[in-house]
Amino acid sequence: MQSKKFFLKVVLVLLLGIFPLLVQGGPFAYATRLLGIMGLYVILALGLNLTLGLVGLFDLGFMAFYAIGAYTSAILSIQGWGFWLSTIAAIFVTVLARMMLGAPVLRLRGDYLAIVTLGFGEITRLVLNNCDSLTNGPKGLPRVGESIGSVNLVGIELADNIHFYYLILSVVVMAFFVSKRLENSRIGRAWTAVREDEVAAELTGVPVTRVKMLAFATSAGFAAIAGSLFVHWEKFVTPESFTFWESVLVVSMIVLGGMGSLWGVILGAVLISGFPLAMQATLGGSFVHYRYILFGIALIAIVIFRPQGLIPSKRRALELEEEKVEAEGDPK
Amino acid sequence: MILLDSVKVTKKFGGLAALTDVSLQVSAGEIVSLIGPNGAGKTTFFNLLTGVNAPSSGEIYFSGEKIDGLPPHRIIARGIARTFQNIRLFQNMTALENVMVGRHCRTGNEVISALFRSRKFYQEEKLIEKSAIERLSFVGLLPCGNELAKNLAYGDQRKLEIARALASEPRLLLLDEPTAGMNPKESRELKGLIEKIRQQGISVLLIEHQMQVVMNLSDRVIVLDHGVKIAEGKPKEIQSNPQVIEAYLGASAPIE
Repeated sequence: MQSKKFFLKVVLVLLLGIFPLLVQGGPFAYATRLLGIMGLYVILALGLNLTLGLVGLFDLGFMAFYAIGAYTSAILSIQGWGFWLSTIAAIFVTVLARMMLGAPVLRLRGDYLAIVTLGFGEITRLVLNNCDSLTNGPKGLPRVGESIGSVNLVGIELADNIHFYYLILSVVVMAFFVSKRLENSRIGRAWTAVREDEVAAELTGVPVTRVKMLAFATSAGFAAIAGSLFVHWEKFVTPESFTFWESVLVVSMIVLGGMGSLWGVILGAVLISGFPLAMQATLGGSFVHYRYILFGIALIAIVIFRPQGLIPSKRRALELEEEKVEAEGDPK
Repeated sequence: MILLDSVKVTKKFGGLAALTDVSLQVSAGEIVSLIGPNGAGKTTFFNLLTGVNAPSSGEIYFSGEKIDGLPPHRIIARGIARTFQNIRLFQNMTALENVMVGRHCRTGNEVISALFRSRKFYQEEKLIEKSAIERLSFVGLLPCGNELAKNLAYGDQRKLEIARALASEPRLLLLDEPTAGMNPKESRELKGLIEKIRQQGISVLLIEHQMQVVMNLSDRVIVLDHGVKIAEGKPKEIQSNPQVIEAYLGASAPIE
């Protein structure tokens, strides 16, 4: 059973690894780009999963941090900073912004948190839209005559979709392992405990506000990396990429896939970001306009018939062996 | 040695005085029961001790240090752990994980060490696991360690709460109606468990309605009524205290 699962995962990774090489130059080469976009959503969803999935913080403005990451990276890149440096700076700025929002907000109960994060998401978009001197408003960055720098990896300049595909894939794999490691740790258990019962967690010794802040800050790191990848790939960014609708989509990815379940969240992200893209490619003509209706119906059906998500999260089983000496029960 | 010292503690919710000038002490190694009719303020008193609420006036000292006003996670680190009247487990975590969370205040791995998995990380995880397993077997729940907490039988959930509280290495354990809803056999088992906890050198402050449990187990009994301490003494003395009988049964009507 275990080995079969492992085998499946290896096959999946191999397939994802060689897929772009197979379609390269062919009529489906565009699929590489679509998969890359889906990969960005997977990174975002894994990031939001830390707060929404593990800690249960209802965060409706996650795109704001994607935006802050993207814009920070873009602005610095235009100033001549390299990709890696501007990404690190973007992470720093985004995490800082997230913590500044978190400090007052994380004391609030779930429903208030949703309202405040929703508001923050909109405010961020409006600021980007109106702060012309820094962001060039709705016209986006870079301005005429400027350009976002290219990405250099060990001397190779990444320019094609296929390059970014591999870069994004490797970040997805990293994001997965980071999530996994956090989940199975003292902090990850504290996060889940807060989700399950905040009061009991505090009285069991978990500093609730502090661990919430840790999750909040860590998830912003994921958003910042995705944002920086996005602008360096697109070489262009406008506030329109960061609407409330996008935040809702990322939330639905997690609910659909299974709160707190890594494979579930990945599947949710792939399905939800892939569905409209696939529809756009396959459905011809005016039918394209109806794709979100189909999408909505599918979402409702899944939430009704499988409320725990497509791949519900499972708890890790541990060895229950006990050394003989302690069998008499000495809790010291 | 006096472990817990509550000095004239008062708690008001708006105009309602839930507790008025409650002074009581618990010594190391003692089992003390807190009894009283419903609404007497027993759970409110637990909430003050564990930092859920701060007292309106008065002070609480734990092994000589003032603890009122500290946040709950600080108080548990000082050595006061509790269980809840209505079971509050982490439902969708396994029994073992519930107890592992109880180790939080005695351990220190952070996000960075979880990411880079240094040797220290693994050592600490191992220790957390080991001591959680010890507590589970102490309360007799080792066989269902990998079950989700919500799937455990009711009585086992109560025991799991105790194991989780014990995981924080308390010096004083507050049990809020641990035998509520249990049948006589389960109650007896739990009585044995509380005895065993005391043998570990842990003091127990117990809210309990089953008089059989209270009278057999306690070194001392303290009676609250309408937020006021009306009696304190050995179980035998309390049983025959007219004020206590009045609080529970009402005053006898004057015979005409």
